[in-house]
Formats: sequence, structure tokens, C-alpha cells
Amino acid sequence: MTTMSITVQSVRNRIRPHNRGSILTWVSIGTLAVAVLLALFGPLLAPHDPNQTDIIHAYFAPTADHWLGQDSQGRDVLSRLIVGARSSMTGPFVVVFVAMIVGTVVALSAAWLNGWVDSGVSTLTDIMLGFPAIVLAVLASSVFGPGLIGPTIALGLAYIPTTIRVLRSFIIRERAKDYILAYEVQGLSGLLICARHLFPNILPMVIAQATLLFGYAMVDFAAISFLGLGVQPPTPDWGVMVATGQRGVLLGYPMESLAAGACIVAVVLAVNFVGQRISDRNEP
Amino acid sequence: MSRSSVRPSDSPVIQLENVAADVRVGEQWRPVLREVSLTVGAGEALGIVGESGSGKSMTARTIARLLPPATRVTGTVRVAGQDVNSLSGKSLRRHRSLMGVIFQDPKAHINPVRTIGDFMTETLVLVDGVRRAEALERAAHALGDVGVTSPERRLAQYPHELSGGLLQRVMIATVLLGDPQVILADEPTTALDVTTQSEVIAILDEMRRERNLALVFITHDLELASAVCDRTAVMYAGQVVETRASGAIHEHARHPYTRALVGARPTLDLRQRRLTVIPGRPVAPAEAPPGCSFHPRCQYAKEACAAIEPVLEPFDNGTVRCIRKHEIWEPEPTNR
Amino acid sequence: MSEPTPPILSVKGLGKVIHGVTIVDDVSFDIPVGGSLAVVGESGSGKTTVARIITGLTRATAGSIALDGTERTTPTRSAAERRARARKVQLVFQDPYSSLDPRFTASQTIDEALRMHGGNADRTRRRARVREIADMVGLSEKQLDSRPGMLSGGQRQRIAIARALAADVRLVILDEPVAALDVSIQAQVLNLLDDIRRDTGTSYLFISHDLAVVRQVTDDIVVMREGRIVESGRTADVLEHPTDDYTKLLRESVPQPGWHARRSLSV
Repeated sequence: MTTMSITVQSVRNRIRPHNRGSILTWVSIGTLAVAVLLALFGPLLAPHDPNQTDIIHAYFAPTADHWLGQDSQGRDVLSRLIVGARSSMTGPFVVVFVAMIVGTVVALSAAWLNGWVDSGVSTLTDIMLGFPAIVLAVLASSVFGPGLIGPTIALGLAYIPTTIRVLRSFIIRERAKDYILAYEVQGLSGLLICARHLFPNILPMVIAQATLLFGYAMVDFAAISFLGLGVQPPTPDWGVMVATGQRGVLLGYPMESLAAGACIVAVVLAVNFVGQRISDRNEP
Repeated sequence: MSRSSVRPSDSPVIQLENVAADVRVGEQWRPVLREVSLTVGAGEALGIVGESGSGKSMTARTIARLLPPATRVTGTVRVAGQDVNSLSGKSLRRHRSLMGVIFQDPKAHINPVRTIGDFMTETLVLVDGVRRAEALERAAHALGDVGVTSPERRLAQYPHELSGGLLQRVMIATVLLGDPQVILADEPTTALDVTTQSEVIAILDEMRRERNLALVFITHDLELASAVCDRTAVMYAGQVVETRASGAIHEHARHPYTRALVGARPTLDLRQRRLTVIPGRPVAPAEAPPGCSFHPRCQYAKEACAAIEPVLEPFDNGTVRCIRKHEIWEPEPTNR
Repeated sequence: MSEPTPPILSVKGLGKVIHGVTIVDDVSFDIPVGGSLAVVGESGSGKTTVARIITGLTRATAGSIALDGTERTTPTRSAAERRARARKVQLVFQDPYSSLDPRFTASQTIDEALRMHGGNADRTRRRARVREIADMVGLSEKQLDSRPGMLSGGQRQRIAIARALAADVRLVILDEPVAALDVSIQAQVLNLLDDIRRDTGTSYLFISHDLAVVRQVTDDIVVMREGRIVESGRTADVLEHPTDDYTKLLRESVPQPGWHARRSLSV
């Protein structure tokens, strides 16, 4: 049935109308580019000082001067969003970066070495998975105090076991393929096989996982800030803004929370979409 | 099995005339079947043999109307007198219930989290409204028919507990439960051991004869098809290039591709000095050259072969698609 | 009467038991230099395990293996050991779709094998050798620069065979190497295997369930069932005049013109 499966597959791939796909991709890439730009150069780009209060104009609607209006302290919402990008994205980025590196190395080792290494890793990840990320974050905050450090460490720890779990099963499947066996027979060392052959072939999976995690991380960080545990007000941060904007929502001025929430959603979606594209294209 | 006494009946159960199928890939339509014409009578077994890209699986799917999305089919496909292409909805489902399809890998077609009993009785219970207890009884009976001992025990088991051969028997039994008129078997024994294959073939054969079913047997193995079926159709690049009584196909094939295929296989009783190699590789319908699709690889090709598209015509108790069929002598295959 | 050169592979009393289940039991056979031995059996016969033991991927629980005169019963521990053994024995797999790294081009795959076993040959010499081997197996320049995904099953198998040859190997174990290929391509690969054996003196251990292929490509045969050898001898003799019931059954199960499948077993 080889012909059959090939035919069906190519049909399925092409059935997605190309045009729609590319537009979304470009929008996502654009969104990400903007977000990264803001994270890097936020303070330079903001039209107003994000911390400049102006109580008289609290909750003012959007004007030419303040495109997104002003928050409860009269501060420019747009400027706070722009400057807040850095704070909102740094944490997730670090977490994902660390989780991926540690997770990949551990998963590769476990899947390759098998035996007690694998069992040990599995048991450890099972234990770690028992702790919800938020709980860990709360614990970390009580240890490290407010700020980014606590949640970053906590989430990093929380995400590593998930990464290991997902990657490990995928690696095990890949490892069982004949070509890995062929290299073993050839006399290639385990390290070389993992590095040169196993890892490149699981890279699409790693990328896909990374983008998924980024999304979770952003939301988790925002939640932590919302709870008042991470970044503290008045530091501009999207999660914080969603929290502090609550009162505004109740009073009929939802712009702060909405805008901040929208930024979070936009970035998460964009990352997911781009990650999916990268993963698809890398599929051998 | 008395092959010689089976003749295609006057009203064939399956009839394909000039069937072509294209699949949409991006903006274009890519051909997967170019010209398929064949008939199968009640109680008859037809083997369809081909290599990659020949379109043999697609032909089966066209008969069953199990086509991938974005496929268009032209030509006449008639099963039990009804035009299959125009069916939809309820009538399509009824049409499909006339047919039993057996696939190559039974594991891929049975739900691994349900028991064998659930799998076998699903259609009976949900579609035909048969009571579960009775459906299970019928299932057990069907399992007995295909040589499965202690069927009650098997009905309670899960697919992963059964071997490939056993699962394939279960598939056959399930198909037979639906009381089909036609069985389409797509490489049903390719994944099985040779002794198990022998068993499964025997079961299929017996069931077919008992119930006077039409069997379409798809395989890449010419010897298997010839041994199991009354007639064999050989496909290449989306076309039927020859049909002939199975007994005759080894010695008296009339299409150069069929002859080459026969010569390329090693034989059990003799070690050949060198296997006859067909230069090049099997061609997909979309890549077929102008004129005869086989001519670049054919040892009998002449200039005309690149220009004229041969038509499938009756010849010598079969059909052949070759413009040189009258000229080509039948040299005895040299390596035999 | 016996040749002065030892057989390329000598297996004596090989056994493998896992968790009390006997997978391989008292298997013994020899392969002469330049010879070709078929191991025939169905699933569960233990033939693949025997191959794994010989290549050093699994440890036997009983018996001994001598490769090219050297005792090699213990499985390889270090990469260096594996490499040393790899120079003597290589494996060609059944599935041409998963036996190659999908990210490497054909030439990269062959080159990597060369680098591991060819000492310190410089780039130009290696490239020439890659071309040489590619010619031997019938791979064109264009195919050399292609990834497996763009090549057919037959071409991928050629790469797999080329990879084995790059190690200048003495014994190649082929595990159903043509089972997944089209008939016309099978013929090409089988002819190729024959040519290589003739030209380089490499020996084959040919695992297959297809008796006709076995007849074509091998000189000797060993029939395995449930871990044991039930019959062995010259391929022609065993296939023409089988003495063991199982061998007879196997032979009779091969579809041929005029064959009638029989129902005998109930499961």
C-alpha cells in the first residue's frame, strides 16, 4: 500500500490552502519580531515614561497622545506595555531555554543508557511532576522574595520533567530505528551517535516542545505576577497589568487588562504558530 | 479448485471500464490510475499484480469507493450492477456493505482498546440492530469457520494478544459476517509468515467457493496471485497491461512487462546464472512517458512504441496492451 | 581435505535464554571465506537474535563465535571494540526506509563509514573511494548527493550495502534485504550482491523467509525453528530433497503455479 500512503499524505499536505497558511505565518513572525524588538529596546521606544503618574487623568480613554489611554495612576498604558515586554518575555525565555537544554540532555542519556539510569530518571520525573508549577513558584517566591528569580527557578524546575517525559518517549522510538542500530554496529560511540544522529532527528520535536512550553511559561509567569508573587507593581509587566487592571475592569475601564492580556495571547499564539512551521519544515 | 471450469459470468459482479483517477496535489491533478478495465464474475478470483506506482491498491479503493479526499474518478465502476461513482450517503453505505475489505496489516485496522468481540460485532449491533448476545454468537461461529479454536475466549481478548496470522483470520471472519458479495484483499498475507500465509489463503479460497463470492486479490507477488486466483491482471503505471488465466501467465504471458516480471523472480527449483533485470525502475502514472508507458524499459520496443498509445485488447484468451503483440514471437524464456 | 583458511564465521552451540525463555538453542554452523549461508525461518525462529549476537549487539548465554579466526563471543563493550568488530562484520537491514539517517546524503553516509574504518585517509582519497564504492553498487552522482527521502527503496538498499562495503568488511549479514523491494528491483539488488561477492570475496549470512531468493543467492542453508536448527546443508540439496518435516512444510507453502493452499492448522 506504499503508493496509497504516499498519495494520501501528499494530498493531505497540499489540501491546506497555501495562501492562508503563509499569511498567518508572516503575521506570526511579524508579531514575534515586534515582541523581541520591544523586549530589547522597549524603554527607548516608549512614547512616555511608563512610571510617570498623572492621577488627574486616571482612567482616561485613548487620545492622540495616549493611544491606549491611561491606567489607574494615569500612566500611559501603551508605554507600559512596550516596556513591559522585556519583563514579560525574559522569564519565559530563560525557563524554556534551561528546560530544553537540561531536558534534552537528560532524556537523551536516559533513552540511550537505558537500565537503571532510565528507571531512575523516570522515577525522578514522576516525583517532580507531582508538584504543580504554581505551587513551586509560590514556594520559590517565599524563599527568594518577590521578583523574577524565584518564579524562574521554580518554573524551570517544573518544566524540566515534562520536557524529559515527552522527549524521552520520542527518542526511544527514534533510537529503535535501524539506522541507529547500524551506527552501533559500525562502532560509533554512544555520544557521537546521540550528537550526530539522534539529536538532529529529534530537533523538530524539541522545537515544537519549546514553543509549547513558551506559551505555558508566559501564562504561568503572568499568573504568578497576577498573584502578586513575581514582578511587583509598579514595574511594568503584562501579567502585573492584567492584575492591576482588574479594578479598572470593574469600574468600566478595561483597556489596561485587555491590552495586556491581548499582548500575552498574541505572543503565545505567534510562538506556537512559528514553532509549528519550523517543526513541519524540519520533518525529514 | 477446478480453475478451468470457472468462467467470467455474463453479468459480472464487478465491472470497471476505462476507469481513470486523479488526485489533486496543490493546483494540479496528478493521475494515479490511467486506464483500468476489468471484470470479475461471481465466485471468481481475480488477482491484480503490480509494483510500486502501478495503481493496484488504488483500483481496489476505487471499487470500494474508499478514496482519499480530492480524488476524481472517471469511467464506469459497476458493482452488482450499480454505478458506484454516483452513490452517496445511505446508498454508498449499502454499497460498501456489499464488500468486505481485508488489508495488509490487521493491527492497523482494529481498534486496540476494544476487544475482538466488540470489533466483530460493532456493525451488526450498531447498524443492523442485532442484539449483542446474538451478534456474539454469530461472531463465534464465524471464527470457527476460519479455523479459530475456542472462539469465546478469543472474543474476549484484545488485538495485541493475538498473532498476525490470527488477527488476519479475525479480519476475514469479520468481513464474512457482513455477508458480502465481494471481497477485496489488499496484500492480505504480505506481513505473514509463509506457512501462515498458506493457511490464510486456504481459508479465503474455501470461503469464497462456499459462498460464491467474487474475490479481488491484490499483491506484488505474481506467483501468489497465479496460485490463488483464476485470472490475473497485471498493472503498470496506472494501467492494466494484461489479463490472462493464471495457469497461462507464467509460460504464455503476452506482454513484455509480464514476461520480464516472471523472468526477474528467482525460482525455487533452479539457480539462474543471472536474474533477468528490467532496466530502470517502475514508473508512477504521473511520470509515464508518451506512447506506451513501458517502452523505455522494454526489450521489444520499436520507434512506434514511443508514439502510439496502445489499447487494451483481447488477444489469445486474455487481454494485452501492446501494439507489437502480433509481431512479438514467444521465445521460450531463456533462463528456465 | 579441509582448507587451510579458517571459516570466516564459526558458530558453535550458540544459545540465548531471556527470562527463562529459550530464544536460541544449540545453534552451530560455519561460513567459509567467500561463502554465502542462508538462515531460513519464520517469526520466532531466533534467526534475528543469532544475527544480533554475531554483530555483538546482544550477548549469548551459551556457545562461542569465532570471526575470522578470532574468538569473539563476548559482546562489544567499548566503541573501539565495536569498531574493530565492525571491520569484520556488518549488517544490512530489511527496511530501506529506516536504516539510513534521513538527514545524511548518500555520500555523507558512506563517507562517515569510511572515516570510521579507513584510518586517516584525507578528504580527496575518501571522496575517490566513495565514488568507487558508489560505482560498485550502482549509485549515480546525483543519487550520491541525495537524501534517502528522495530515493527509492532499491537505491536506499544500495546505500546500505555501500555503507557495509565501506568498512571493507569480510562478512555481511543481510536481514531480509530485498523483502521490501519491488520484484524488478529485487532482481537488480540480488544480481549486485552476487557480483560483489564474486569481486570482493565478501561472505554473506543471508536471513530470509523467501526460499526462491535463498536458492538464487546462497550456497548453504540452515533452517531454524523455535530457536533450533532443524536442517542444514547445501541449499540446492536441502531445497530439492528436504528431510525434515518443517523444511518440507516451508517448501510446500511456497506459492507456485498449480499450488493448492491447504487448510491443516487450526489456531
